[in-house]
Amino acid sequence: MAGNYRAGTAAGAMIACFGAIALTGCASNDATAVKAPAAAGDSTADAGGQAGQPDVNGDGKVVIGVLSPGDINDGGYYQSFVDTAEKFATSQGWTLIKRGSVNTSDALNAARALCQQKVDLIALGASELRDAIPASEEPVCGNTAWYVPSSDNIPQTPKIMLSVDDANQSLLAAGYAAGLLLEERGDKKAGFITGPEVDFTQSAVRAYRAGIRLVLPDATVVTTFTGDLNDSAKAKEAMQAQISQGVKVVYPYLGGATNAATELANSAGVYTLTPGTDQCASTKPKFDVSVMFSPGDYFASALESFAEGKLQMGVKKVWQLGVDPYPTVRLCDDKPEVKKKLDAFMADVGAKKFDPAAEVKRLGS
Amino acid sequence: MTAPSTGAPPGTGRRLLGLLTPRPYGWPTPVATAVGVVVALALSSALITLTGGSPSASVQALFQGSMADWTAWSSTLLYAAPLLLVAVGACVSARSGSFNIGQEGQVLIGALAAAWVGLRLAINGPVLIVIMLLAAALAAGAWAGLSSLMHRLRGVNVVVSTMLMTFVAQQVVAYAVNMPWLLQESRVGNAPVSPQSNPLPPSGLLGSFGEYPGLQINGGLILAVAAAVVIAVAITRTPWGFRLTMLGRNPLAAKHAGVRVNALGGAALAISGALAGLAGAVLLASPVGVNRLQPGMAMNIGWDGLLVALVARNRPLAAMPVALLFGVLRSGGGFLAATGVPSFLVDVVKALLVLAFVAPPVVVALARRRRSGGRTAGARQEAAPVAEEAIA
Repeated sequence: MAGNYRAGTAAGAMIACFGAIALTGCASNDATAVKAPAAAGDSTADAGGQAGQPDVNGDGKVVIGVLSPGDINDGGYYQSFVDTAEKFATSQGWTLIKRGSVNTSDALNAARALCQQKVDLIALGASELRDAIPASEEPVCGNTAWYVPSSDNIPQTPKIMLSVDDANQSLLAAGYAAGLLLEERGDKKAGFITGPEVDFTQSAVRAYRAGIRLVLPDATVVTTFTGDLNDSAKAKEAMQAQISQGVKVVYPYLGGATNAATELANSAGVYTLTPGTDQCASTKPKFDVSVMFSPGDYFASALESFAEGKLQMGVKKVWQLGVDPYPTVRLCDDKPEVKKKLDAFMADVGAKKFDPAAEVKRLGS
Repeated sequence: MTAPSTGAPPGTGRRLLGLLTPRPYGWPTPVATAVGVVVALALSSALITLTGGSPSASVQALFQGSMADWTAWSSTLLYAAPLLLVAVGACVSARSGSFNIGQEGQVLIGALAAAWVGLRLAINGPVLIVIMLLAAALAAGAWAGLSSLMHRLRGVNVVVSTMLMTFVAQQVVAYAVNMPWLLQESRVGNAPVSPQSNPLPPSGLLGSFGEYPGLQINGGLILAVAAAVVIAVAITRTPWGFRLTMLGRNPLAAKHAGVRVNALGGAALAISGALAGLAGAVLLASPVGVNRLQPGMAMNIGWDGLLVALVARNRPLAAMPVALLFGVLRSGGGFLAATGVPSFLVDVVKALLVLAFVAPPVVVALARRRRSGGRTAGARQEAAPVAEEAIA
């Protein structure tokens, strides 16, 4: 009986394997790919049947709805977005509905829920929630303006305002600043600590490494993927390991674990950079470079336009390093020579004197 | 003589399952349940007040988000469908004496299989969704069956193995959506790619009666209700159901009565997994999700579905209103943010409600045991089986 049982199991497994192989051969993954976004450029489209901003739905009150995929109390990247909205809404006497840690699979429903609550503006905290965007085309969201941060991977539609920055630019500049600090110290070993080894963190590492190598062509960058942006214990462990390996500048490209890792770096006298926000005023932990590309900074500008009734849907706002106030990189300590070189570098990027993407490709691997 | 191997958990697990099986205790159990619900609601109100919210505003928000109009009802029903499927599956395994708690992973495996078929099988038309559902059920059924196999071959506890397989399933799905050659979304230009699959083609989506924002009855709900009815009839009106219940109550007696305990126990676990897998396919292909495979797409549906079964005391038909209640809490929970109450409080409310429904039989049984303890030894001997029956 046991023999029959095993034979049956083996036969079942074989059938399953053959079935699986047969299925994968039927169509490639690219056959179901989302088509490339149309080149919307800076074109403006009609916002549909919306009333005037900021009371888009004309119900006599202004309600802003914010959805964030991350912890809105992380003290960094995600919180900055909500803090900006909260501060602005309070100053204007508006109502703010904020919802953090929204599962990407639940993004569409979360957006619909906000529309049902008659919000005038839906703001997504990050492009991870882009699957919420189809709700903008639904009748229930007909009288709602949309603000969507993007990394050039979201198609422009007439119902949304896209806010786009190029991670290559800010991370390349961050690496450049780290390279300058290393050069000043006469060292050539930098570190990078981040969470999961996924596409956006891998891209960030490449850009950071390329930036350092623009200053120090033979510099090495020790990289650690802890698997979790918010796990402080893992981040500290990674930081300790990098300090032991002799790195002199570390970029804790993390979420809620940033402060814990940075405090450890502070105790070892290692330079650190901020992952998105201006933390130069912070003394515990202390940062040496503020790399500013936080969604809150971009959102503040959009909210001002919204309050003035000038936030246009169907528009893509591209944030340019060296041209716009954000993204930017700032040294926290007074180092005139380093600052001069860094500012010149960012001005060159803004003036398009070289292509950051090409530099990342050339030096980032 | 050794007890027959059924994949059922020994000792504690079986006692726990015993609590979930409806037995006539007279009036004390319903009264205790009613008191439990009142206490749970009072505690929930206190928690909402403590976190700076208003209980009445929270109830109003829950109502608006779940039942105030057709849009809200559609959302509630969309959430209720996968919950019901998971719960019905949990009823089957629990009836057989196996405590499958790995539904969260089985939901993911079902979604993975459905996504794989939906994105890779070059088929257009409604047959695609049928194949997707079948693939999801087969894959998740086989996944759950592995726990039965582990128990039979190596004596691994089913409760432990089904739970641990959940973490394996999460890693498998995370791997699949991070590998470009497997299911990771295609890169568009230089934009970063996320750990998720491409969206399903239109033929891979479950159809609906009615259209959002009006009342929308999705195919997933019809499937779930049909599954609940079929399983309810099968359990209560067929020889298979009788054997299943006999196996759950006493595997040794079932074996002596000619029941093939290994096959039946394994099949019950596989059916439980298959239904959880169907829930995964429904999550993937219905408007409740975003129609692409994502590592977090199970959204605790597996765990919540198990709670639905617990509250329904493993009765598939009773699971229907309970799943609806949990759907109300889920869809209404999205509206809680407007009241300033953290949405995770909904989970606390759910946990309290589950306790309110699960705890009373234990309390009643313990009270009976205590009462019988004060009598004579003979009376104690008479009372012990009653309490043991309640617990075991």
